[in-house]
Amino acid sequence: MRAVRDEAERAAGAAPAAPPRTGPGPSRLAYRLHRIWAKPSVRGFVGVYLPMALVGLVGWRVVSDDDLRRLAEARLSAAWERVVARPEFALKGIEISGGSEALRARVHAAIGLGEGVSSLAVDVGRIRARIEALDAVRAASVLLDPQGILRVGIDAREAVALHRDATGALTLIDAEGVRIGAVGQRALYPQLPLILGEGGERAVHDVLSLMDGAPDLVQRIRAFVRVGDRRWDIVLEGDRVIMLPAEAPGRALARVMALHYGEELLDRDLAVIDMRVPERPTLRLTPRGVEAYRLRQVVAAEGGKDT
Amino acid sequence: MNFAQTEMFRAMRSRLQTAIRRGRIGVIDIGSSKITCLVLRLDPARLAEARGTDQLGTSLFGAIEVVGARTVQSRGVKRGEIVDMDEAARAIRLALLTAEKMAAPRVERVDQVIVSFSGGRPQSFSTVGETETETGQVSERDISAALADAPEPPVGEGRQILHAQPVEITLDSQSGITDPRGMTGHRLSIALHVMTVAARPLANLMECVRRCDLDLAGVVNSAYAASLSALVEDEQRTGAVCIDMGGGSTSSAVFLRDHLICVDQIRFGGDHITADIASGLMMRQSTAERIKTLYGGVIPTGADERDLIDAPRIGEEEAPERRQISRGMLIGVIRPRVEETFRILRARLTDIGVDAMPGSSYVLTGAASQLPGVDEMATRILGRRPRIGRPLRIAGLPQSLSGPDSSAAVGLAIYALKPHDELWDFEAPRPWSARGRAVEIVRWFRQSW
Repeated sequence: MRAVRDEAERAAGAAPAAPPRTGPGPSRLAYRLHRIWAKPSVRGFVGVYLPMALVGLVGWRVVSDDDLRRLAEARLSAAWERVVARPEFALKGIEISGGSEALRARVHAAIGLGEGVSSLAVDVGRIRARIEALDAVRAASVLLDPQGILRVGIDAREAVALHRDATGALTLIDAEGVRIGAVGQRALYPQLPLILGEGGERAVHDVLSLMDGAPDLVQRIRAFVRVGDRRWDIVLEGDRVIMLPAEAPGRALARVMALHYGEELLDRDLAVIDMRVPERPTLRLTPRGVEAYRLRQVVAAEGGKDT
Repeated sequence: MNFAQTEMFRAMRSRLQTAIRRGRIGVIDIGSSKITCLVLRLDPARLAEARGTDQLGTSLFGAIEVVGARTVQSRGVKRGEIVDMDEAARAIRLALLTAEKMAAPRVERVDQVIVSFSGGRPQSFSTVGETETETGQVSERDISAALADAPEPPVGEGRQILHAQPVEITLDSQSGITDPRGMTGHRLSIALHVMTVAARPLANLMECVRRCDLDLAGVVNSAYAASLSALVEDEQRTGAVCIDMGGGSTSSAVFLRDHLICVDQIRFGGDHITADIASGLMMRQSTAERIKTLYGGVIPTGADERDLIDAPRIGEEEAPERRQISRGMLIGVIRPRVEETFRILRARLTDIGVDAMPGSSYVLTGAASQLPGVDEMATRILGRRPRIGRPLRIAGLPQSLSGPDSSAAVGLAIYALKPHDELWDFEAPRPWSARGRAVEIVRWFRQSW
């Protein structure tokens, strides 16, 4: 039967050696591959460990060969540069808020970046450190927003006093005694108290509380002098000096003011009001005052003799 | 009784244990018209627990779940025997791969499979082994001795044993013992049901499974497997005949007192009916199969002559005017074959003596039992009303596999859960076992002097 059909096919010119007809179903090889693939261990090996091993091998090869490594580094850095240089990453602008106009200009100079620099190259932390390194800035916040604008917020220091150091240079200082900037003349800041003496800048809060405690005195004060980094002398107009104790200077000054209100102490010819021993205020007269005092005593004695 | 294949069957049992330990096993019902593969997930802990607590084994079914199932058209198989090794292996591979694909996220691939074998002209024998108990109390050794004493039945040339199950244990005059260990008595006799099949078809089947790179964890006669799932427990106990009407053959399995006691096979099946239709009415096989499943029937009714069915002759499938036949004609072709099958079956069952068995019920299962009117025909010829046996519902079984045509596949799954004890499950105790060494020495002295 088969032979007859074969012969018929050959006569009809059918292609010989056609593949044998089989039903649907996987071949033995396909079946075996399927079943090997069905094992979780094989799957894990091919899916995880083999790629890991390949990556490791390639990585090791690159690292171990100097030329290859240099090439790889060059390629990588070139690719990185290309990405960095893209206009989408360029810095659009710098916005600075807080502080005075002059301070903002100084901060802008301190940032040292122009527009058009790639925002990928901006190191926000370093910029912040650089801004905070300015004397006039207490704290700064630096933010690079997604639009490519660098936003800088400044918390500026407030000048509360002038300080003249041993060399005679005048500087502005804030309440914490931190130098803010140099000043040419005292007259530029007439409303700020002047502090002299070693260690004076470290006790600015004393000065402020003393000034708060004696508002009527403020107009007369010329300077606060720190003595021995321990206590204060207040120099008034006409070189009069109030010497305050190291302990509780405020109370001593209040007492002086009380004397002033009662006896007009400060309007008299005194050179020194010595409160260093608070229980015993001591007054030193000016030479003219001494003379006047003696004169008055003589007059009083003579007058007494007369009567 | 001792025979050559004991070691092979023991190896299968150990593979079954391996599969249970791994928690996954495949079962493949290799039939003449279809191959069904189920991928099962087992719960070893639950299985062990259920085995320990429940002798009846009903709670075992919770420990199993079907996670993959696939039925493919069978090729290279005729009457349950392999006729084209490559084609059959290819079909098995297709069924297994697709079932595994369905099961893939739930279980790993299966390595051990249990397959059914429906060919090989099964024959049943009965043999009895007897022994005197050594100590007056039945020990494992006594059981082994009794089993060894059973004479080998006349298996015949080219045939080999497929099942050998102890069915009846009698101690002195007490019968119906399920587990004699530790019982007192002198004379222990064990009746065995031995089922033999033709050796070469079985070897072909095993080779075919080997070609699929699978470990064989058991070969089960398909009628036996079908009855495991189609018969309910009470039927198995009081006695039942399960008639598995497959494509290539019709097999009957007789159950009594929870044991299979006889298997018989008639080499007529659904495929023969199709062939009858094809040749009798001059049709293509495929057309005949379609008409059989859609319009087929066994019992004629008055309306049949008016029911016209498109039934094109061979080569005229595309012709403008196709032949039409009446349903009566179709039934006229189908009916004699079914009648003949049942008549032969009745004769065989009478030979066995089943019709004398009181209270035994008949259960029809298998694909051909879906033919309308088959149960009525069976009632007329066999004298008892059968029921159509659908497979036991096990977890995860797809709806498409819940009909009587998949009893055998589901039965294989049940077999994997609780296989009946076979001859090779009783190991001859090792002479130098650790526990009984002193007992052994004493025994040796007593027996030798």
